[in-house]
Amino acid sequence: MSLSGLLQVSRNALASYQTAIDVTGGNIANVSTPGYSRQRPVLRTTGDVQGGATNAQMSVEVSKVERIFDNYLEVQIVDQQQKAGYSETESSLLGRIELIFNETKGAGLNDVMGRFWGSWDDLANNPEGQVERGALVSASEELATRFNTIASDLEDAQQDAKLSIKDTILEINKLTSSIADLNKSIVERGNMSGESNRLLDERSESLKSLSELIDLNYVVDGNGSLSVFLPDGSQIIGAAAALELNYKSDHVVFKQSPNESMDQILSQGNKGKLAALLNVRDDDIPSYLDKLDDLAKGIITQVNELHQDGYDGYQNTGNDFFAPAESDNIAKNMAVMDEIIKDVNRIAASTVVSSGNGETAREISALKDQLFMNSDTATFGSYYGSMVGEIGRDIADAKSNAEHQDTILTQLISHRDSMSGVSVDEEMMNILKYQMGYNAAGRLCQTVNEMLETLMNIGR
Amino acid sequence: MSIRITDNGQYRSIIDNLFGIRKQYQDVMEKLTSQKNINNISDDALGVTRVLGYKQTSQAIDQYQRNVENTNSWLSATEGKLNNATDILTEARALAVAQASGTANGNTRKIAAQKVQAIMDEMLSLANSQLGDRYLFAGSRSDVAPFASEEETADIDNPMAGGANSYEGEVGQSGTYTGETNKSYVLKITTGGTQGAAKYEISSDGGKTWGAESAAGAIDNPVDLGDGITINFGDGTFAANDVFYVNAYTAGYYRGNDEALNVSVNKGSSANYNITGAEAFTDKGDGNIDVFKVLKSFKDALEGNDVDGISAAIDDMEQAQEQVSLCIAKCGSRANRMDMVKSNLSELELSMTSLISATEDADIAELATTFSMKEVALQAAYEVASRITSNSIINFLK
Repeated sequence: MSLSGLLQVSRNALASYQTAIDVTGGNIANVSTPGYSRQRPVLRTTGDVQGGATNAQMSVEVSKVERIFDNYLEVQIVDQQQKAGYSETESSLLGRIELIFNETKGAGLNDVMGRFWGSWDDLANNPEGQVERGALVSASEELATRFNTIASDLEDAQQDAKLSIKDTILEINKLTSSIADLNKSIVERGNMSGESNRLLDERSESLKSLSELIDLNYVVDGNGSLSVFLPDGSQIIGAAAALELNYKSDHVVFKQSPNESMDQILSQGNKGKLAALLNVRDDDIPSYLDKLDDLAKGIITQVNELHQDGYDGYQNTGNDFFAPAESDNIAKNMAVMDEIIKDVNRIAASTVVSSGNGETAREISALKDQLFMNSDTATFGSYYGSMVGEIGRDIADAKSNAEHQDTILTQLISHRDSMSGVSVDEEMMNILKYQMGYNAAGRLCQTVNEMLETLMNIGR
Repeated sequence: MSIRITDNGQYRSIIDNLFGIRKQYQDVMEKLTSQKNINNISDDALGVTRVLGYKQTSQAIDQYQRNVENTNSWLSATEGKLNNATDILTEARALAVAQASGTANGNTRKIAAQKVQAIMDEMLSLANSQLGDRYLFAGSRSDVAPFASEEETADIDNPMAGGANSYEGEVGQSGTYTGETNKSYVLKITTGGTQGAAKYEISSDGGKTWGAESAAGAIDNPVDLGDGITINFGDGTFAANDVFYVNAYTAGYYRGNDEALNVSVNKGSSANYNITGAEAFTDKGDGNIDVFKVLKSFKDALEGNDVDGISAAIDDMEQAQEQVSLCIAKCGSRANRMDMVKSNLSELELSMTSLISATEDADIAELATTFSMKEVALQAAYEVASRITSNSIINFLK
């Protein structure tokens, strides 16, 4: 055993404990950094003691700085993030639609429809009354306008979804290119300690943000690079490059193949914000619009049919009350005929040429009790009631789903925190531990110094 | 290895819980301020559907109640006028009895004739009375007073054209009306074109039901509308839905028609509320005796000093009174029905209101209690959150 060897030992110990405290300091500094995985200095003895006359010193070194990180938990979180991203977006979009159908305050389409039928009956009670005719035109215009508004509000919501899709695609492209850059850096540095840990953390956070937006699978290659795949297997992030997404003619496409729509692939799995936007835009809203159109078409067609058989104040017959329904955008374009708005005496209230008869008006009012909707099993009113109920259920389901997914995600994140997060208590203890080691090593150094001095003084 | 609690984890869990409690607190507050359990359609989708259904029924009930009110005004106005009519018929009958007896002579009869004229005038004004702008006894005719002051022969009005007709040619009519009641005959063009190509349909009930479509070009010749009426057209082009109609009258005083006026009083149920002039005052349609005719013959008999005629008038007056009384009874029974309908509707309205309330309205007492509970929970959460920084190992390391 040589004294200089011992000095070496204490020098190594000092350096190692200093590094350990550095690492601990890094942890403490990052106690609230999101996505930070705590690092642990791995102390290892170097050198060994050989039996017999020759001895090697035992020393300590920091062999590596370990990043405490659970891969499996990470996979679960990325997956859950996709589900949570989907249901949250769906819930918020549908929540907007809830505002359009605000039947709970009592001023909705239900009320307006009731007043429409009622004013036909008022007219039947006094078929030539100018006041009643005027009131009927008012109520009818209100009905048509309300249908117009609801339809265009739904279309606005669709438009919003489109804009959101564009924004989301920009975000996705930013994230994918930053992950690709990180890939390059990580592979270049190999798997060294310290530097790479920071990059790994950053990449992991970017991956989580990306998974909130889009349905993906990922795999870490042997050389450390992260490959990300879309549900159909196409690779969106590779070792060095990332493919860009684009939004063209209302479809999501890869920039290099702008004619192949990725909508179906991306929205099928119900994961990720993009899928939610696509589903609401392409499935939910169009189905609500269709139902609204069906209702408007039913009302327009039936009222017009009876109206055509009736006679107005000028003994004309065969005229429509509402502008005839076309093949689409029925609710959006619903309107009372101009001629009637300009001259209320053109309302056909009578079934005969004598205008004291109000049978046509009475029959039109009685349409509200007849079964015209759902293959002749529902009245206009009950069709609308079921429609609102269905929309309400969709929204309630989306909300509870969002809560559920969020709860699971929160739990997973808290597991992750528990595993990789920084506990100030623990770090403080570690500092004490390493500091003690440092002090001891320093003391050793001093002792060796004294021993050397003793040796030096032997010859005096 | 035991579970590690990290600082981040702790903060996160406190924030999550705070958000959770605040959301519950807010929900209860919303229900309290709106006093409803359902504030969004997603709160209770099934409840919303039900409530919408109840509200629709409630609106319909309101409307039926309005209809019943209107009908009641009409019925009571009609009954009032008919009561007046019976009164003056009683007067006429008394007059007839007096003038048929031996104490009367030519002079008294001449004076009585004047009285009968006055009675006839009053009867005419009664029969032509209006409620607002509508004649009480004209059926569905509104363009002409239901009773004329002089007896007319069977008559056919000039043909009228629909206001928006394309056709601008001449339309003439000819023939003698042989029908039993006053009617309107309608000719509607189904396929437009010139006289050689146009096709039409005919209705004899005012335009409700139609016969078979004619052959093309049949309109070139005079068209037989039925019951002795012929209509002919000059040169011109017709468009589909051009309408021509002719009002035809039987002999007598009555110019109105037989149409029933109806009103909806409940789902799928309607009520006929008018009495036509025909059934009250004439011998056509549902009537048995022409009140004006017999009053006229009575007056003539008085002026002509015709005792037999005057005696016959006594019976006539009686029959006339019976006819009018029958109509009064009809009004009475219709009014009774309206009363029943009215009370049914009121009951229905009450149950709708309570159903709506049961589904929609919030129980304030329960909510207030829940609200205080949530408030306490919220305060406790805030208290806990504030302590998180005060306990740390750093405080104890020197």
